Amino acid sequence: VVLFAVTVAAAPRPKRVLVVSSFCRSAWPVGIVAAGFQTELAQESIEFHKAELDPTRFARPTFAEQYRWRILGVLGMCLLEGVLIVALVHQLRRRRQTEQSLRESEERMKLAASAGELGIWEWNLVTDEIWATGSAAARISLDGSGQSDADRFLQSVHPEDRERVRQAVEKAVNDNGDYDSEHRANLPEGRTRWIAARGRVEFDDKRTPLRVRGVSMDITARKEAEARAQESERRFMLMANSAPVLIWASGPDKLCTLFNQPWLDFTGRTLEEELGNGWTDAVHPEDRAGCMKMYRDSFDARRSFSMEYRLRRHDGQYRWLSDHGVPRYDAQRNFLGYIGSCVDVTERKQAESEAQRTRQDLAHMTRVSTMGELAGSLAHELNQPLTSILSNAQAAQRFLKAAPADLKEVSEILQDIVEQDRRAAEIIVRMRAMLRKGEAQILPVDLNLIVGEVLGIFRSELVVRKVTTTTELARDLPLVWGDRIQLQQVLLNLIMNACEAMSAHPRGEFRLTIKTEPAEADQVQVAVIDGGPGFAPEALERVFEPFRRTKINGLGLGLPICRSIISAHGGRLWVSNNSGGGATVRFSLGTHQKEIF
Amino acid sequence: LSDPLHQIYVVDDDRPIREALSRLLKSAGYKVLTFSSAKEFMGHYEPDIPGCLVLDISMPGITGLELQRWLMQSNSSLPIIFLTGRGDIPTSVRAMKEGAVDFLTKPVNEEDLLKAIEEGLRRERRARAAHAELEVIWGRLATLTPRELEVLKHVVSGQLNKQIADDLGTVEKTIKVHRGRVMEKMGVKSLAELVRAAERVGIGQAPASGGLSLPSQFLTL
Repeated sequence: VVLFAVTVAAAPRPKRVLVVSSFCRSAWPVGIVAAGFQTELAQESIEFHKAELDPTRFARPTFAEQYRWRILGVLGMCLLEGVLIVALVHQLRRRRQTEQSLRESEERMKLAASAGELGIWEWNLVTDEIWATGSAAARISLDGSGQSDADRFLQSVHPEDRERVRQAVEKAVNDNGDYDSEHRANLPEGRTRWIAARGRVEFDDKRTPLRVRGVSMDITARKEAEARAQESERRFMLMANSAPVLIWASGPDKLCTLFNQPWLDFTGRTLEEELGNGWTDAVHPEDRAGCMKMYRDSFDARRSFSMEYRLRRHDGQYRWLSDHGVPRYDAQRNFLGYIGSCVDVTERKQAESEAQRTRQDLAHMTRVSTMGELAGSLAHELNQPLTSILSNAQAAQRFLKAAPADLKEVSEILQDIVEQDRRAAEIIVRMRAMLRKGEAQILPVDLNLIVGEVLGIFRSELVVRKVTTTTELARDLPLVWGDRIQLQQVLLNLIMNACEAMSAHPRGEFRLTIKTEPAEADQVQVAVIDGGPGFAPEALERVFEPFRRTKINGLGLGLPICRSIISAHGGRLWVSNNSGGGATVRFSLGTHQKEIF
Repeated sequence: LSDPLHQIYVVDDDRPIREALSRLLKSAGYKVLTFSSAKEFMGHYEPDIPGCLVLDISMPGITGLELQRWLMQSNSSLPIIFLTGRGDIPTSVRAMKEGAVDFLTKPVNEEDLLKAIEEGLRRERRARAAHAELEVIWGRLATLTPRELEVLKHVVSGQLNKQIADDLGTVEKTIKVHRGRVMEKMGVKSLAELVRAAERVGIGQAPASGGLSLPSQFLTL
């Protein structure tokens, strides 16, 4: 009895019933033992009395003999009860732990729900009762009690979203049981919040829906941010579409994701056709590779770029576009891709090519006039092989007439004739090239070779003018980008100028040096150094003005044309006076390795 | 047609032309030497060997005209045929004035060239003959005594014996004897002949040139 009372008192209040019942269950054998004990006691006393009456019949038994079974029974009962108590205490402790962790997780859930504006709800479909907790309680029931029903709940949903929510519930109940909706909820103070709700329908064995359990969350902030982003996007597109330029944007994978309306209007293609790398279809085939290379290289280097290429317009005409692209980043400096804008520069290009044509015409004109001045010299150059050919041929005729004919000599002569004929042909080719009017062909050029060719044209002129020519040509000179004929023309003009300067001032030394050398920054420099009087200080600054005649013959276009040719090659041409008398004209050009666009 | 003893020099800075001309002239039977520059030629030239020079007029370094002047100054009678790539008239006039045999434009026709060479060689022969004649005259002049030379100078200047005698401070008769001896030593029979011989060596005008044993001032023209 004492044990019972102690156990009941020790047990926590809600578990006391359990303790009592389990105690009662385990207590009945004690009762039986106790009852047995009573009977035995009684019987014993009878037998005791009998023994007292007849002491001879019975020997007086010992205490152990007398209460053997009782002692064993009590000991067994005590053992059994001890085991039961230990088991009970253990069970109680486990229960207490479980209850505590349950309570803790419930607390955590509540905390999470309130922190994340998360509401937990349950809708009993059988009784049409909605029970909600957390933030959902206030939304679902107008009185904030957390109790509601389907009608009242639908009332709280924004009228525009009501039908949608209803359908979502229906679908969940009739379909796979998943409920998912985003809707606006009208709150008591007239506020509207965006709610995202997710739930699951629970069915019984016969697939009768019993209840829906789920969570809901206030997503107003996200929705507003989305709306803001959409508005900003809309505003950007409005701006992009009304801008008079073609705009594109690409993602971090280099693929284009956006083209504005003017772009689409320009190409006459759909956005779908242009997306990704589709836009390159309309790029002129000649420009496509260069255009893509520029884009990819700049992209990989995250470098802004400017390039020009031809893009096919909707009418099939290719137009020159100037495209300027820059990398774009978000607020956290994460790379997002590129954005670029293009302007139609066809008109400017045409003007440029017009100017280029004019420059080429002028260059051609001066080339022809230079060649005119050199005509005597050129005729002489051509005469040399012809002279050799004629004399050789006539000698051969004589050798053949002789008896016996000297065939060995004749064979040598014919060999010479062939060589000299080739030499004449080369001179004619060179002359024709100089006189031809044509597009510049920008190719890698060896300036040392150009010097050699020009001196070939000039050779007899220099002899007649008694000019001693020295060349200092750098070995392994890097190639430069340029048009061979135009560069020859520049050198021809410079040498011609030097000769004129020297012969106009006979006191000067008739010495001409042509020097080629690699210069810094991937440049090659050519210097034409004369022993003439040099430029007058005031002339030094004005030699490049057209029609400033510094020599007796010619239009005075020589140096200006030379400079414009070199500038068109991306190079530089300048003049200076030598410290020891005479003038030097230098020009520098970028080497072949250095790409020019 | 050609005299194998004659040496033809070809000077041109253009190797193929040099070779072609050399072949042509060899095919015509001449002995030919070629030089790539005036300087090279000047190093090899032997005045004693009769010949003809085919010379390119425009060459780097010493030009054709300069070589011509050098030959003239060294008193050579070597005939020169100029070759030119350009029909430059002032140059040709100058060359011809300086005694060039011909001035041929490249490409040169073999007939013209061979004809010019023939002409050159003819002139050379003539010049050498004239030179030989001069040498005879010089030789004879060398036998004259200084007094006889004085008399000769006066005679060829057209003075009468009497005037000469006055000038030299002697009598007419002595002059007459001297004069007879001069005529005899000079191998002439008439006064006209004597005057011509004297003129050949430049006596009577400026100091004469080319003498073998005469003072050097006689040697310049």
